[in-house]
Amino acid sequence: MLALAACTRTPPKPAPRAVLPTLTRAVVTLKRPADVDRHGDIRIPRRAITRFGGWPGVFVLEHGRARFRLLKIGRVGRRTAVVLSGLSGDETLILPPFRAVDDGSPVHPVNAR
Amino acid sequence: MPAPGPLPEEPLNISGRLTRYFIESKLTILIIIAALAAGFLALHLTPRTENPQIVVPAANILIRKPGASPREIKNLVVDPLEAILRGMRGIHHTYGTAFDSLGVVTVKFKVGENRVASLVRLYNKIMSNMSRMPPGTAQPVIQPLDVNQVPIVTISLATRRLNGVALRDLAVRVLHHLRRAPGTSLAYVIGGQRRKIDVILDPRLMRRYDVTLRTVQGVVEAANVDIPSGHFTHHNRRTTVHAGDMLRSAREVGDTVVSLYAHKPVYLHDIATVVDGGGRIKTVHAIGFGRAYAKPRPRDLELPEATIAIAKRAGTNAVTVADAVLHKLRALEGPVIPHFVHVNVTRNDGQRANSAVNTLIEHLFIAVTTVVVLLVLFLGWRAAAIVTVTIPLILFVTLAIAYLGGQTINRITLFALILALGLLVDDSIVVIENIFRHYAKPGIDRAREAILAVNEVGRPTNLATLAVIVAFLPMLSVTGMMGPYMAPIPKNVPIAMISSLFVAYTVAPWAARLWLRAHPTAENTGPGFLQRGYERIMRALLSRALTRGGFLLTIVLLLAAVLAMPVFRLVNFKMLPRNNNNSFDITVRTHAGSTLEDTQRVVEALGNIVRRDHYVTTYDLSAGAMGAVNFSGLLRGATLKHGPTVGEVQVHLVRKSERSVSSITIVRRLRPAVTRLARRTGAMIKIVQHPPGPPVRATVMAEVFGPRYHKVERIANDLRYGLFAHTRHLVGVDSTVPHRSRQDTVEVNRRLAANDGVSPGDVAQTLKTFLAGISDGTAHIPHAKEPVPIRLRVRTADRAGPYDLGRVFVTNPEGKEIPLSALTRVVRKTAPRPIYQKDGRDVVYVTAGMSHGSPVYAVLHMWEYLKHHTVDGVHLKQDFMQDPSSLHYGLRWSGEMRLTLNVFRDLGSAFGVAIGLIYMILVGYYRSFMIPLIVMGSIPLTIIGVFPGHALLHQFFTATSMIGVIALAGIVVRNSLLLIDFILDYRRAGHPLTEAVIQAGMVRLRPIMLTALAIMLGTAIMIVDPVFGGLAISLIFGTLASTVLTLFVIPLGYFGYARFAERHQPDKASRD
Repeated sequence: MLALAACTRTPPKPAPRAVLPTLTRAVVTLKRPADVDRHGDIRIPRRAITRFGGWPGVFVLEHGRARFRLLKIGRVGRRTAVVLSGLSGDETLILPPFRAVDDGSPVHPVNAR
Repeated sequence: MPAPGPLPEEPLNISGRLTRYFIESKLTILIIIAALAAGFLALHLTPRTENPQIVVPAANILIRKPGASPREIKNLVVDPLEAILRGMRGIHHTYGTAFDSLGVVTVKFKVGENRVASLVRLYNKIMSNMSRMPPGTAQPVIQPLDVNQVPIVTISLATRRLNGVALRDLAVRVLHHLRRAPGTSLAYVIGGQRRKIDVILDPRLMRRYDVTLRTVQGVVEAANVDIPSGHFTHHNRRTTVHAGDMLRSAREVGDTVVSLYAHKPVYLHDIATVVDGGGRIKTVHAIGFGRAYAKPRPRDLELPEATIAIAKRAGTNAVTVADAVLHKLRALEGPVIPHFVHVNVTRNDGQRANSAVNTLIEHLFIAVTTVVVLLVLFLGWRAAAIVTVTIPLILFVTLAIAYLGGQTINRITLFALILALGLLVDDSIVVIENIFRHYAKPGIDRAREAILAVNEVGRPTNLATLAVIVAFLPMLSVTGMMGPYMAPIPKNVPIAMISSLFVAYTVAPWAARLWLRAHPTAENTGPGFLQRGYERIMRALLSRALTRGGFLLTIVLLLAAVLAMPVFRLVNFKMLPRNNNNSFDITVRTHAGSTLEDTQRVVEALGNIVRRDHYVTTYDLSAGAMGAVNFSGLLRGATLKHGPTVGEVQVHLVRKSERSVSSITIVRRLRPAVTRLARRTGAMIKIVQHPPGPPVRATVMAEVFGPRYHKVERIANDLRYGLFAHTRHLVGVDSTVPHRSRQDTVEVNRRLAANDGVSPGDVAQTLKTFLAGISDGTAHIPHAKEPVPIRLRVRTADRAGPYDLGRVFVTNPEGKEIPLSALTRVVRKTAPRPIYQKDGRDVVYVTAGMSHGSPVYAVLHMWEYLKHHTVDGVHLKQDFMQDPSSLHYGLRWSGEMRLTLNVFRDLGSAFGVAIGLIYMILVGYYRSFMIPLIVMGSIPLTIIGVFPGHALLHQFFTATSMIGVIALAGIVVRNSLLLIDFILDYRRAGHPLTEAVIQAGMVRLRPIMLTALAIMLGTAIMIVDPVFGGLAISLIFGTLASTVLTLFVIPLGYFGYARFAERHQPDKASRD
């Protein structure tokens, strides 16, 4: 009787993991102090900035995958932009094109510098 | 219809009369049909909830006084307000917090106070005392905290194809449709971004065109006016007149002329960028998809979401409301919600309640089946069938009465029914058995014999039922939130008992008359091997005084040994064990001074941890605010938590019926990674599992009081990083002493300012616009469903730090522009810290959760330590129940420990009262003071089973176990009562004492075992429940031990008493 009560219904089959193609993208690895401005804020290439459902930010390479990172962006120059908050200064940023990049896409990095 | 045959000269008692009326009445069949119909209706109509609804009226009162320090707020606002409120009737606690410029007082009324009346009194009290508040305080904001505000359904809309504003707009549109479902009340959208018209001013251009912030503010305000100005009457017609023009779009805002420069108009868009959009991001809400996600998986791991939260109206059925909402939602997918938006129902309390109730109804069925099988084995199938018919009748009548009494069907109600099941078959069994015995005689009038049979057992049966009822009733007086939580048990068990009695006297004899067939041989079967064994042992015990004494001594020693088990921690106490839930929360608080982006990173890292688990379907990430509030969050003060340092992850698991692993295990598996993350980031991360019973602010909580707040804070910090951090099983140790954070104070040089003709007020106002932005009315966008404010602000890039003040200017009356940096200097200080109060006394809380085990022992360990050690040079005076003195530094243990003490105190007193009542009833019945004591001797015998049972199964002795012990008192008295009754009968019939004792035991052996087995098997199904397992263990092991021992101890006890009485008062003993 206890066994009857303890037996569970079978759960719906979980959706398979999303199979995303590995993308090859140019990346930039931030380094201190080269990428820090005189106020101590981090400078990143302007073209690394993108939007994810309206949030401003960048795609950061984490464990071989592109992950979106929300940023507060300060002054934007011609080639660089100042990040007021959101980066620690040692991240690897993915550069465009961003069309096929999803949150969690596997990325094969190619160093742009 | 012929009246039943002649009845005996002795008048029938109430049971006999009931039977006489119903045994051949046509009404009986109607009663059966009515009961079945009422039960079915009740089962469908009664609102279903997972747990009983606990009414705890509470409210937050927020009072702002700009510029006041926490100390000022405490002295001028919070202290007087708390004093005023504590004078009100029905107030349980007041919790005050004095922040910078803001005072918050949370008022908690006593459990069960009328919500509306309490809130009306609260408003009245506050409004009539507003004159006592210092000048400059804003009108108080009163937020009632209501269980019915807690959303029962949350729906997440997620996509990256829409921006925050469009997503929110979509969610609001969907909400407008869903709101029309009947029974919904509060409904709102969390997440996305509110639409705003941002006027982002460029300080350089403003200077070039000689425009100041104040001018812009004034002009926009003046341009955005439309006043109904009366009417024109001409040509016999009347037309209403509106003067002015509203700003209807970002374009119109940009086209406002702000000043003239070189005789040309300067438009707002010349000096500013006007953006119609989301503005600055203050909160982030996202949904992540775990391994167990069963819908088509999005390409992204996490997506921005907007959550629609819908609460239900009080008194409506969560199941039907949720169904109606979700039905409407399905219709919207497509016409309103685009296909690329991922729609997920992240909370459905209706379905949760329904499945909880259905599972238990299933369990009830299993329990009924087990009892029926038992009855067939013991009584034969005909008698068993009759008893079986009565079971659903009794349950249905109980449900119908519960429905009429305004109760809900919840887990506790159904546990009460399962618990009652073992008891309610008894009445019918006793009646049927006796009728069966009567029918064995040849050539009888069936109706008459049935009435006689009922009449015969009526009195003891009534008494036994009454004993069970009075055992349960005192439980109604349990105080605090546990009272209403447990209330369905003392409410429904007595109802079930009374209806079982009624059914046993009406339906059972009616059915017996029609169907029961007696075998004349049934009476003559000889004693079975059990009875023969019992007889042999009893004879041995009765014949030798030494053996008898040895036996009784063994029992007493056994009892003493069992009672010592808690001391040696073989049995551990806890209020309630954890529940297996379908979701849990992880709350995050990053260091003071952290940005939203920092918090978001911690929250996202948590997402990475939970996503790896096999049972996670989805999880909601929130940063900058909390997600949709739940009941425990509401009482923990989640509605007050917002700001960039706050975050939360709500983790949703596969339904518990579909997973083999408990949420407790899942949390235990995740905890190491979460702890590592907390250590790495320095953030305060707590895993909050929804408690099965009433929620507490923290599982382990120490309230530190003392005369000087600074010292109290130091003591609290010492406790936090010392004692608490080094106590085993404590996790998420926290205190209300915040980390130091920076505050930049812009000090105005009054002399310079006066020279230039600028007031410090102008500087402050300008600075606010510069940093926070100021609101300047709302744009009148015709189709917007939420107000669209116009905000003036300066570009983020131009306001990053103190070095940017040189770019902001104030204009003096002469029109000269002075940079702020010329008048001010920036001083870096530590930010003032909030002050907490409880019941008008300054307090610092040190809190912790438990990874596993019971908080009782962690607290006892710390209590023992603090008794012998000082903290920060102070010996703390510790209290559990009473208020600590305000002259010394002291500590009160609160949290679950306090609740546990209260509950066991209340249940203990309920037990005491129950025993007193049972004794009174028995004294009334036996007209003796001594015999009831022998009868009640079976009550302590239950403990011999209860404690070892808990130790054997490694379960905590919980509040439900205690309820089991109280129930046992009623149950086991019944056995010994019938035993003593038979002994007395045999003695009255002239048997010698020894024979009477042995014969009574042999005759009662079978029915007593049947009753005991019915209870044990009926409640066995409850053992699998994490919460009510304790109740089942108590009942099963308590009944087992008590039944076996009762059969020997009670007759022996009576034997000893009778022998003693014969020796001393021979004439009185013969009367007994």
